[in-house]
Formats: sequence, C-alpha cells, structure tokens
Amino acid sequence: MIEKEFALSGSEQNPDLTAKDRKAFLRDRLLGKGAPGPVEAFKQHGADFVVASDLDELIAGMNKLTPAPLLDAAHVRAQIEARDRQLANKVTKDAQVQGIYNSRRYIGDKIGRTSAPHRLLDPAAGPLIGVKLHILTRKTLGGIQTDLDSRAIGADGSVLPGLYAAGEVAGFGGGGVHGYNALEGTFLGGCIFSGRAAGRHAARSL
Amino acid sequence: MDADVIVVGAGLAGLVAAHELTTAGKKVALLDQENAANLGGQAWWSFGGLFFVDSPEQRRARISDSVELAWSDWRGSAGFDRLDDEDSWAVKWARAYVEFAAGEKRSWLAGLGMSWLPFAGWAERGDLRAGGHGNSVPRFHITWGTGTGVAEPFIASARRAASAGLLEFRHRHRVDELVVEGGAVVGVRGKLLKNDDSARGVSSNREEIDDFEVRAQAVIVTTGGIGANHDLVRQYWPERLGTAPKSMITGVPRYVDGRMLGIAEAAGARLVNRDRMWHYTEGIRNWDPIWPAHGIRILSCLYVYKRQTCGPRPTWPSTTTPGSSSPRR
Repeated sequence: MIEKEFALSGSEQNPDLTAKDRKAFLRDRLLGKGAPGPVEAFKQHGADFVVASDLDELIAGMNKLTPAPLLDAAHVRAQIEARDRQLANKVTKDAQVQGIYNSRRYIGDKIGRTSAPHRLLDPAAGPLIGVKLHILTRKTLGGIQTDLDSRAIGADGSVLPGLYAAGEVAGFGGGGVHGYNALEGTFLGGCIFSGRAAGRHAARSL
Repeated sequence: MDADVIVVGAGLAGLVAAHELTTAGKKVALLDQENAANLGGQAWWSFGGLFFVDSPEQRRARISDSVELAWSDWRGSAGFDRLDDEDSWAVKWARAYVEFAAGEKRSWLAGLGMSWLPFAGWAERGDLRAGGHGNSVPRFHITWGTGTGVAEPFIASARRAASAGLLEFRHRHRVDELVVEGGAVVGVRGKLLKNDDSARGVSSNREEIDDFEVRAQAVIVTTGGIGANHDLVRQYWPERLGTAPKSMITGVPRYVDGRMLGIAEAAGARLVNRDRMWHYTEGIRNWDPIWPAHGIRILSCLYVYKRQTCGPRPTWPSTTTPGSSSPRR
C-alpha cells in the first residue's frame, strides 16, 4: 500500500516529477517495487513513523509517540478486523472501502494511485505502518478584498486608488475566492489568474 | 518616479503580474524581503497541481466535466454565506475562475511552456453529498516540474525583462508601509535588510541596514498569507474548528509572515474573511527540515477513529480537508 498510495506533497519530495524525468516516473512509480525514494527515507528516518510486523507492536510504538498513550489496541484491532471482513464481497457497507472501489473505477487511480483491495492484517501485505499526524498550517483563504481587476477595495467599499492585490494576500482573488473550502489545484491558478488581472489592468490604465 | 508599477512579493502572483506589465512595455520594480534564491516563493515548493475543467487529460480518461459541474462543486465547497458583504467580490471571482479553468487557463499556460502528467489526480473527493464539498471528478493536473515547472516560465520572464531594462529586482527590501497621498497609494517605504546568502526556503536574517522609499503610479501587493505565522493563525482560528491545536507544524517557509495584510489595512484596504484558512490534517514532520517546524503533507490510506463516536457523517483527510479538521471526539 505504501508503495502505491503513500504520497508526499511538494516539489522537493517528488524529484522525478520536479526534474521532468518521465522515465524515472514510469520506472519508480508505475512499474517499480518498493516505495519511492523520498517515501522510503521518511519511513526510515521520519520521527512520526512506526513500522511493525504485527498490530500490537504497531500500537505500542504509536503510543510511544504521544505524551500519554491514546490508542487502545483492542479498539483499533476491532475496527481493522471489521474493515477487513468487509473485503469478502464486492459490495460493502464500509464507506472507506467503497471509496477504494470508486477510486479504482478511474483509470488514473487504478494505474498509479490506489492499491487493489486487500486485508490490512494479511501478513503478505505487511509490514504495518502507523503515522502520527499533525495539523500543518498552510493557506489563508481570506485577505484583501479586490474587484475583478484585482484593484483593492477600501473600507467604504469603493476602489482604493493605486493599490492592487493578487494571490494569497487577496485570498487568491476577491478576498476569498474559495469561500470556506478549496477544491485543490486552485491555489497556483488563483495566483496566476489574479496576478494576471492585476498586471493587465495596471498596464492598461497607466 | 522610480518605476511605473511596484510589485511587492516575488512569488507566483507577483511574477505573473510583472510578466503582464513588462510584456506591455511597463517598468516594474519587484521588491521582496528575501534574496534572489527565493524567486517563485511558496509556489516553487508546491506539488504543481492545476485545476482544469474538461481538459484533454480528463477526456482521455473518459471523464465528462463541464463548467456547470465544476461550478456546482465550487459552490458546494465554498459555502459562500456573506454575499452582500465579505463574499460580494469573492463569488464573482469564483465564477470567473471556474470559467478560466474551463477556458484559456490550460492553453495560455501551455503556450508559456507548461505540460502535465497524462492523468489528472483526484483531490478532495468529497463529503459524500452530491451538492456538498469536493470534486465530483479528478481535476488535479500535476505539472511536469511540479511547482518549479509552474514558477519557472515566470521567473525566466522576469529575468528577461531585467536584461531588457524593464524590471528591477530589489531583493531584501522589506516593505513596512504603503505611502498614501491624496487618498491614493503612490509608493512604499521600508527597510533594506542585510544581504543573506541562505539557500531557498531557509530562514534569512532580519538585520536592517538602511531605509528605502520607492514611488510609482500603482502598487501591486502579492505577499502571500499567514501560513508560517502561528500567532496570526491562532488569532484568527475560527470557533467552528474548535480550539487551535496546542502544537502545529508549518507547510511554508518562515517569510510567509502575513505582515503585508496589516500594512495594507493601515493604508485603507479592506480585509475580509480572515477566519477562513486551509490547513492540512495529515502533516508529518520533515526528517530533514529546511524551515522551522517544517511539515510535509501526506496523502494516504486508512484512517481509524480513536473513539467510536464521530459526527453526523464520517470525514477523512484527502476526501474532505475541512471536515477532517473539525472537532473530533
């Protein structure tokens, strides 16, 4: 599962894509055995990773990563065994397993992203990997309110002469183009779209 | 007059604005508090995913996408509820952006030299409701070169404009104030910071060595958000997400400090929707950090509930980022 599904976001964690190395991408991600290099490095060095051959050992390791133990081994085992039991049929009531089936109906995910469904506690699929997650601060969805030419709006609601704002400082356009939630892939494009609007309007009006 | 236009912030938005201006023959002063190694800003570090609607990559995979479907997804995700006020321009931007993503976005960027992986990725797969949050279909088109492949054409454009005398790089210029005269923004003032040879993304010194003032006919602020400023993140953390976690890690370099938001506000700009943020629940500490508390976002596997009571519907990272960061018992 880690070989195919575990992805790290960002340019420096995806050297093949960043270097535009199409051969390495094909070799390492689609045909290769084992996890991609940067993922393997995290598995070996990452402070948030626990690798174990059985579930009790995994839970014990995960509980060492928090100030007080948070996981009850019996409770986690019950959830995973219940999930694994759902794989006996092609239909399931488990929404995460449904998500796997749905994902694999898309050829892009089937080839490169989503492993064939299998029991997590199948020893052949081991070892087990647990990862401690943290809230990762990233993007600001609000900001300077702007009109469609990226001109800043003043406190009275009219354009503030001489000032434009674009990109994340303008909430990627208008002071919050994403509202409460983003669809992803929209941030770089928001910088491009709002930066372009600002540059074009300023060039036109000077 | 030092330039026709001042651009504050040499990240993607600033570089694109500068590209448009210099292509039209205007003179640009491009200011940034960091050094030349940081051209491209946060975008350089990103995965390089671009939201396209009804793309050749989607069609090849027999995905039927449209402006109507994307607009339905966008509205379902955005949940605009301040339409008369803080969302009044945001909703117009959203509609224009979806049309851009279904229209000239891809061809314009392809014309600048970008290309994409053969299959679109499927981010934010939804909250299980047709009209709710999330993408109904895969739309995340990863650029060859990731974030560097998106930033590079605009970095190259800025360098060409500099050679042609149309753009002046002013690195290590930290803007502290927008100059307002007669109700209009006419320039910027700030401190020149001591030279720093740090590599991209590494925190640089903040030693002030001189004052500066630059004037122009217009100022374009493109300085990014508050992602590396946990004090501001906590200050504006919305009640609907519970209390901010005791410990957080950081997905962007330290210079993403949000300083210019307050500076723009002091000059008369209106700030809206400050309680809306986009943080990831599935962050891990980078074993080889570049900036302080450097975190990486992962995309993965099975999520297990600590206790068996969850909200009205289950929520997982990678399907619904906001849902998964809501209070969890």
